[in-house]
Amino acid sequence: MNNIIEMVEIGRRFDRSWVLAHMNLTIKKGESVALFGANGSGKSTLLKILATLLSPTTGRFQIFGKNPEKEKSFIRRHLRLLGHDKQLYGSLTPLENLRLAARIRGLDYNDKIFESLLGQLQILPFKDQPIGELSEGTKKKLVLAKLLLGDPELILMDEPYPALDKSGREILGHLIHEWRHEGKTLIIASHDHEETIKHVDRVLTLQGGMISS
Amino acid sequence: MKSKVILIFLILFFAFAQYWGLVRAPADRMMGDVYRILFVHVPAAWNALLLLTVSFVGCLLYLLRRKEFWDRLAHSSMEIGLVLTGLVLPLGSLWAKPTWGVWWTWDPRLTTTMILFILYAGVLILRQLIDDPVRRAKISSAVGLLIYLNVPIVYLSVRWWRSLHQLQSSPSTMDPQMVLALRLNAFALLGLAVFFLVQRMRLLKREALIEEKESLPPPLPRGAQS
Amino acid sequence: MTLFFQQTVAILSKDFLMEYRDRSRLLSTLLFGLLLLLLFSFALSVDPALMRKMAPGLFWLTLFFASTLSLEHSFQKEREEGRWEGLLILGIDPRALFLGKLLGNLLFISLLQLFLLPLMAVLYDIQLSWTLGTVLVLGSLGLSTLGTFYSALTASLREGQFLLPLLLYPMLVPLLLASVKVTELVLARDLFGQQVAWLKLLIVFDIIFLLGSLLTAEFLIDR
Repeated sequence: MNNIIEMVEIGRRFDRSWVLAHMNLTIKKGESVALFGANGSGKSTLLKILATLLSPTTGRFQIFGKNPEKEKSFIRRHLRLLGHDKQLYGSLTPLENLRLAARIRGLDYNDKIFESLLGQLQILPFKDQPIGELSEGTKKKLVLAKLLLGDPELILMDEPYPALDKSGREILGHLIHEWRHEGKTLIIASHDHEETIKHVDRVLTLQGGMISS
Repeated sequence: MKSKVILIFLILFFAFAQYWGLVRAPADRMMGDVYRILFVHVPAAWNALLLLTVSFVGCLLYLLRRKEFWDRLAHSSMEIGLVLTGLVLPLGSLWAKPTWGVWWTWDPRLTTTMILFILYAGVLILRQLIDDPVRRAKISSAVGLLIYLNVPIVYLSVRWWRSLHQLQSSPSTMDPQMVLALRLNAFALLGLAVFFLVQRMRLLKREALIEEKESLPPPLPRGAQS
Repeated sequence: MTLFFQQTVAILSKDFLMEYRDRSRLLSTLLFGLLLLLLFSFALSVDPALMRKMAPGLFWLTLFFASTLSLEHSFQKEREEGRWEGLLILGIDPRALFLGKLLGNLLFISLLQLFLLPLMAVLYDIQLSWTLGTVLVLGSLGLSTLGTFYSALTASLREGQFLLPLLLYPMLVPLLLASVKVTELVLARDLFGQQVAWLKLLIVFDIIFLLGSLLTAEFLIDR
């Protein structure tokens, strides 16, 4: 199984408009791919379809060689999505948020592991404060910490840079470097071409829901 | 064209059945001519229940098979079943006023019918609020399933709560002409209901086709990779 | 402990913690319940004998109306900040999410009952007894099962919140009738065991809808 993603003629329609069309895409294991394109060009939709959160209107695709209609839970267990939404609970602390995510993922971690994760992202001092009281940059770092739970093979990132402060960007750059070293597959959708291009093997540009060369 | 012929035939048959009920069947010894409203009330009730059962089957098979056909069947039969249920209530009231002296009683069948009407109207409103056809089909099938499971429980609970309804007359105590008229009317209404069901399903299928056609994926631009 | 139960407990304890930290919802629901009890007696009668007779019905109606607020919130809070999708992408079993929410709602409704009962006893002058416990548990189980089901449903729609009572209340008719009847019979010290049939009906209702909604929860919760 060399190809981690195989998409054939994937299209997605919302009401009457096609946000994504004629998407033919193959991504090999260990590849790192940038997804560029203007707002509304279909980047987020493509990532959501890959994450099995949205079903395509046309076409078929496989992830890890599995059919997403039938083996949704397998696919979800092996990928991670860094989306627009932070998906955090404001009245819980960073530690509690991580604990919840780990328990749902079925990981049997103790607090030591969570604390070392928080330390890695330089937000350990905030571990017992409700998230609602923390700064955006800190929250975003916590979202990155959630990405590190478990051992995903495929990591999808939708606009990871905005809201990250300088140290956050450095940490993310470091993480991406490590992931690539470990042979994980990455897809990064971003407007920040300069920052992204440093980390990828190839660039796909979306225009009007299609890949333009 | 063909469907028009069928419709005319069905209307004629319905008129004939009504004629039988209004003229040929004898007046009731106790209730006089008032009882004749049963020739529309009872067939409407039977057919309403039948159609709602069909919609239950549609919901169940949709969830098992995921074919749009079953969702269209569930949707159409629910709509027609709801119209019939809506007919049953005022028709029953028209009969109840001269017979029992009241428009409404808290009788189990009456009350259950009223609750059914609200439940199924709720599902049809729900359908309006979901844009994505697949999600709409899944959700309304799940709800349709639960509602139908509730019908016997609602009926039983209201019956235990209190009861006053005319017990069903068994055919043996009725004049044979009355029985015949009732059966004719039941089949005439069934014919009309099935006709509308088929038409409604066709319409839904065409709507889906039109939407699909109007919104084909945009063509590939020249020079784009494929 | 299997993953399914681990997820269920995770959701339950998370919701418990959230409601505990932000107690305003629980407090306002309790006050709303108290207010309803008052309003009912203003609107209906000052005759103590009559109020005692109507107490069971008023109790269950109050419970229905007051719990609707928190039922609606139960899935609505997952819609903010993409939390719902966040749970799905972590690989949660939709039924575990459903069951966790159900247990949370059951807990919440039980608290509401514990608060309302003594108030009822004082305001409407009725005598409480331990046998009442059975019907309270069975009734609130059915209420939270269907309540959670329709909460998941209406929260997944863009503008569906107003539908919750419309869809939920007619489904609860048998539950209301049975619970009110049993409560009446218990308060009247029913010696002839009439309530057994009603209790059986409640049990059947609870089982059917618990199974039915667990089996179909996936269609509401997952995309």
